[in-house]
Amino acid sequence: MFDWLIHREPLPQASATLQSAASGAALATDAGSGWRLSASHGDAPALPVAQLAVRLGAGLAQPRHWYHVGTVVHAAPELKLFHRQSMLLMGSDLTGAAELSDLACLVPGLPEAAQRSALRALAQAALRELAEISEPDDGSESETDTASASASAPSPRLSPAPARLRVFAELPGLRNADGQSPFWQGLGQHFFPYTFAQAERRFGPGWVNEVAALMPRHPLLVSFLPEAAQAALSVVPDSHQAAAWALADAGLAPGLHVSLLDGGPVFETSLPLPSSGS
Amino acid sequence: MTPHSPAADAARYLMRPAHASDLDALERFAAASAHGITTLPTDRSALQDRLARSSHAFASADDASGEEIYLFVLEDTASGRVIGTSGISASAGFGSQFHAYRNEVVVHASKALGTSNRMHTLHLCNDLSGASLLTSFYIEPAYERTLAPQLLSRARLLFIAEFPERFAERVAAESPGLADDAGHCPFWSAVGQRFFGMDYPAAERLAGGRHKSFIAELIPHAPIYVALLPKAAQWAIGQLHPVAELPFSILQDEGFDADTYVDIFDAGPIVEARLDTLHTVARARRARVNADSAEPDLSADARPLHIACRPERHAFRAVLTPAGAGASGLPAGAALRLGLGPQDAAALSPLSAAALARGAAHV
Repeated sequence: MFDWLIHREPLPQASATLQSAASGAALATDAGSGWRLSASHGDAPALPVAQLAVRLGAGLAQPRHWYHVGTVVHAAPELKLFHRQSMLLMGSDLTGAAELSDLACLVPGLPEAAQRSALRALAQAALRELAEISEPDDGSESETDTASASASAPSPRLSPAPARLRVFAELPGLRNADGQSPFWQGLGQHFFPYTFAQAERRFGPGWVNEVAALMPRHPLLVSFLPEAAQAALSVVPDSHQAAAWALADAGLAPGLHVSLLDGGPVFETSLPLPSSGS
Repeated sequence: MTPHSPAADAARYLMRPAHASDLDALERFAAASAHGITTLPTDRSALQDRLARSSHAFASADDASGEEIYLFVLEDTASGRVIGTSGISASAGFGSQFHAYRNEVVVHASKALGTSNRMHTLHLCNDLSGASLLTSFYIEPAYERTLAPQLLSRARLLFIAEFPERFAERVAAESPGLADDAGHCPFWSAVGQRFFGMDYPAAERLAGGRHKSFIAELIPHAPIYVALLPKAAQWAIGQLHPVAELPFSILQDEGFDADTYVDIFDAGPIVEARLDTLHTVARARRARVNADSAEPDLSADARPLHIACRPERHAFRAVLTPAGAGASGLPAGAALRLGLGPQDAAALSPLSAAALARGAAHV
């Protein structure tokens, strides 16, 4: 029903700097290599209606952090106890994965069905392209491949995972009526006492890359968080329902990770690497 | 004899091992204590078991295993009544672990952001496993401001010091934390209840029995970030239940550290110290009977008040007495109350100024 043209352009090497409040040192925040895809309708090919960015090697240039959402069980049959709880553990599990980011519709008022369709087309295109480039370039992972592969041009360095390329997309988390993140209010703000807006004003946009150093390193039981923070965990806000639907339809699913800042869901999938597959 | 002089008042108290015949008194004390104030069971047969175990520990010729408990009682010899009790567990968490939360501070810092943040955390630990535990303290309210509780609590330390092979070098004591009259406890509501889904009184009933360390083992081992707890629970950490103020103040005056450990159930303070650093133990000495001093007029005696104890396990006794300096400082009257002969030695240790000040009242 929709017929989308996908445009591809290289991603500018964004290099934001963060002025450290204390030392004045400038820190590069390398966004990594990647490309941008945009979708436009066949009737108006010059007018992109939606876009996403594909970035390779997440967290390799600059460490990234997420919470892993695990499960702990306290069981004692003698006491008739069986408690299952969620536990958050900060880590960099998705390091090296490919990231689909900046999913956005560019045309205000685009019908929901069109939004979904355009975003899905972009996600599908991104996965297709990732599948094509995910062939390893250094030969170390291709013992079974005896003859031909080595002549191909070098492709970007990918995930250290030998068998599959992990792909993820981080969606923003829930906001309350005041535009605040209940998850941040209930957790992060105890460790870094600023709202997102205050932190941005005071430390610049790069603060998000540095704040993990201040966040809890020990596992956290979700039940210790305020109810509003618990309720926000891994919830897709209304503003991103179309993006969530598109990602899900393209084959990504909410996994075991959430955003370090606002508890937003991380959709994940993995692609077979051709050399290790069939 | 002037009836209300401190020394005269002090001479009426005798501390000794509890006997089977003290069961009624112990049952009375257990019933009178609010939630968790003593570690005495309220059940009569459980108390009887406790007494039997204690008698065995005092009397047995066997080497100590660490399983021993020692229960003392305090008599007011003027009235012939038992007015208080105290105890020692030789080895905390014997045969298993003794769990506590250790207060720690984690500093999270970011050079890039030029900021750092001190985070108070509680770490589940077994540091105090094997320490000797002071337990079961109870004194009748009418005697709280006399010297009786000072003797009843502190003489335990001399007992431990006399038998180092039966105790640890490290001594600890639990104190009850904040709870309301119904026994509900803000720390438990914020922490324990999340794991066990039962309120504090219910958990305590279980913990009083064989389930104590069992429950502790179910508590998550990940540290707790205090900032994430409700304010009432944060406030309760290390806070003492008001009814335990007296026994706690005695331990503080002895030199126990109260800042490091708290109870995993109600976050009441757990004090601990090396035995030889404590006031009563560090100042203890041996003394023989001074035959010249018949303790004729206690009120006129300007010599400092001491705890004197008979350094025997089965026949342990402790009393308060004025005593002079030197190796023959034990007055004959005190020797008589301790049941010591002319050639026998006693352990003597002076009461601290705080003990004298707190015990200035009389009955």
